[in-house]
Amino acid sequence: MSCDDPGIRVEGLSKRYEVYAQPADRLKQMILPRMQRALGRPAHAWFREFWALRDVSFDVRKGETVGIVGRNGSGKSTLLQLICGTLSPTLGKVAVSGRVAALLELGAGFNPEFTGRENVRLSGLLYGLSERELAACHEAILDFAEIGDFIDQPVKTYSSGMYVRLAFAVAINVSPDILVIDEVLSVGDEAFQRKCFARINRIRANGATVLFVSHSAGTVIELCNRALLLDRGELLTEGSPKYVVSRYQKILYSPAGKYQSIRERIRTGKEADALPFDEQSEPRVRTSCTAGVGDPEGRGGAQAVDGAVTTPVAAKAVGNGPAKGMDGSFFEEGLIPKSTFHYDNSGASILDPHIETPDGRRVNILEAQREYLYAYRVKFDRTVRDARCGMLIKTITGLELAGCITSWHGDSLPNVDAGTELEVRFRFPCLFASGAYFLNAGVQGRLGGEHVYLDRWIDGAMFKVLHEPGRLATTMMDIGIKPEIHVSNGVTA
Amino acid sequence: MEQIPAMTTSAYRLTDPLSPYLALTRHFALVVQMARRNVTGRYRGSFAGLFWSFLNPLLVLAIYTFVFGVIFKSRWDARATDHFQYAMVLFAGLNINTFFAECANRATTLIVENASFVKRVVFPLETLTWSTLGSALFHLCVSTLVLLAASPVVMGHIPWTVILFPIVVMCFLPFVAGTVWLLASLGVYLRDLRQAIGIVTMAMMFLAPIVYPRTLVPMRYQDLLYLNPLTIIAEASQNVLVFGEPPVWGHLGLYVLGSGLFAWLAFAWFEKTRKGFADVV
Repeated sequence: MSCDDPGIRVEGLSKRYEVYAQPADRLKQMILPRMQRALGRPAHAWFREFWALRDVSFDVRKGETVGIVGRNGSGKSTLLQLICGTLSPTLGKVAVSGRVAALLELGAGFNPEFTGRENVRLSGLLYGLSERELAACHEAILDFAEIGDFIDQPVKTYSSGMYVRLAFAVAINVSPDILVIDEVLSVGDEAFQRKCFARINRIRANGATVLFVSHSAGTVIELCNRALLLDRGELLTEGSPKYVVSRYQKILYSPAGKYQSIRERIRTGKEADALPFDEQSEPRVRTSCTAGVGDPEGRGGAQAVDGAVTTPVAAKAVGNGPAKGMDGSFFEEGLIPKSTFHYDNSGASILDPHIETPDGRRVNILEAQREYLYAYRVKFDRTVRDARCGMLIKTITGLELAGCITSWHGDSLPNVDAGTELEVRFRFPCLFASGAYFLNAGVQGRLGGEHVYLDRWIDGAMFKVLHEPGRLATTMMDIGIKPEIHVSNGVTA
Repeated sequence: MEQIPAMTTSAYRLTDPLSPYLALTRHFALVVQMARRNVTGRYRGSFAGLFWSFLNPLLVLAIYTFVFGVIFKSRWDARATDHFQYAMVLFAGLNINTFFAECANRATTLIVENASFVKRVVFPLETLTWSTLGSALFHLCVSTLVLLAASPVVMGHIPWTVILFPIVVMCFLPFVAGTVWLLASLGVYLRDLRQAIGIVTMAMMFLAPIVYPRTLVPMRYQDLLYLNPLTIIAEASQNVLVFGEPPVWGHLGLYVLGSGLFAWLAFAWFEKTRKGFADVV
């Protein structure tokens, strides 16, 4: 089989759920409309309809790993179930080649009353394994799942982690041609997740096709060759994982009123770039960014593979990039902390805390290794002595990563008159790992002899750092550690 | 490249009257696994375990023998040799009803209780019928063995006609399978069915010559008993297991035709209606 063989082909797929008030209505629906039509009367419908998928078409080539992203209720799970055959399409066609192993939601078809061992056997039989094949992979499954003695207990007594471990162990050990994974790995602990991803990589290396639903942008970017964005049952766009994930996040954080227009722009964007996932559309951007500023290792090239849209920073830095960055690729209006806490202010107020690029463009999606400014204004409504300002960057869990103040007590601004407005800027390199970060802002001063906070914001702004391909630094900050490795005994491979 | 064999379309040629049995032969390993699980699952956690499946019928037979042989001193009909034979006849007939009732009662909740097989995996749901029959058949076999073991003690011999018993059961199976398919499908849509089925199976027991001989029924009602699908099978079982008489072959021949037709229609109904399961389970 050649590489161009589609592993999965989906054509004009639509799924309508029929929602019945009572089970008996389902039976009526099967019988009565036919009779009504036979009698020449209009057929009555006993259900409310809900279209979970509308006219979705795509191909997945053999050996490809494709991620599916979308908000809750966008039709991801329905799509996977249609591909696995547990649901039947209302319209359209699905075709697959080879054995499909699936991890759908929690449960994966286990019977809760059966023991782990019985379920393994049962699943094996359902995957069409012969007795001999079953015996051969039985041990491998138990080894991988690490269930221990619980294997002879009914699976209803399992913890969710054990459940998923067993389900995953079965799915990957039946040597599937197509592996379908629906956002289940997040249940396992990190060590097990690591093991699963290693195993998925091995399966991919053996030429299997992987279809993968995840809410974790990082995982999709890391793991997938391509991604699809589903929204309200519609395939909005497809393309490189990074391109799709950034669109997904845009939809995710869209402010209530803007959702429709953002959605429409993403959808029509797809029509504008005839083939957004065409390999040819990427080098165009890549070549224009190879000399990214603040990127001595030349890693900038890989950073701006964002479909056909160039970054504002890159456009400025290189000077000749296509000036298409104005659609706010690096600014999401909805990216506003929900945890903002504003202390009652006295004497001064902090206004508009935000991040901007060195050339003054507002952003909140940051690229690693570039420089940014954290800026806010302070308006004084009383005369204050010894004023100074500060900031703090924190992780999503509240860990305080880095901060700065404008001066020590001694060299603070000695006297600020009422009515003065200060502009404060903190320039910082983005050394952070991909993820979300939160910003505090504060201004202190002496009011009537006492040194107090004049105004203070907790989580006044937030930003996200994009995944940086090829990043060697681990955990939160890339503080510039340079790895070296030498063969010490003179033997080389 | 193959089209996904969608859950909801039948994998069988329903015009074929033998299609119900393909469901058994195609997925034999699965049926055996599920049936075995049904049997062992019932006794899971109990100390005596599988031993109960022997103990239960043994105790039931002992109670019948005492009540009907010692207290009532009943005689079945003209063929009866002594009081104790009554308990044996009763037991032979009741086993048939128990087998049927066990399957029918399970059938109404068969799909609903296996919701994960409907929604989560591509499962050949039609085989659940055969595994239900399989586990009930195991219990029928055990009960019959208990009956045979008691025969030398109670009657002094084992009639040679017991070798015909498997034939009688084979004639019965299509009818029971059809019932399970029909009730399993209807049970999904009509949830009241599971409440009603208990009284129906009880009525079928009392309206068949199981606890009384047919000859006891007033002449003009006797033929009506044959409308009960249990009648022919129960009488045939009593004949071959206790009285040492062969079954009425003409009856059994007609029965197997009707039974097969019913199984075929019920199977087709099940396959036609299964597409709605996922919507309401």
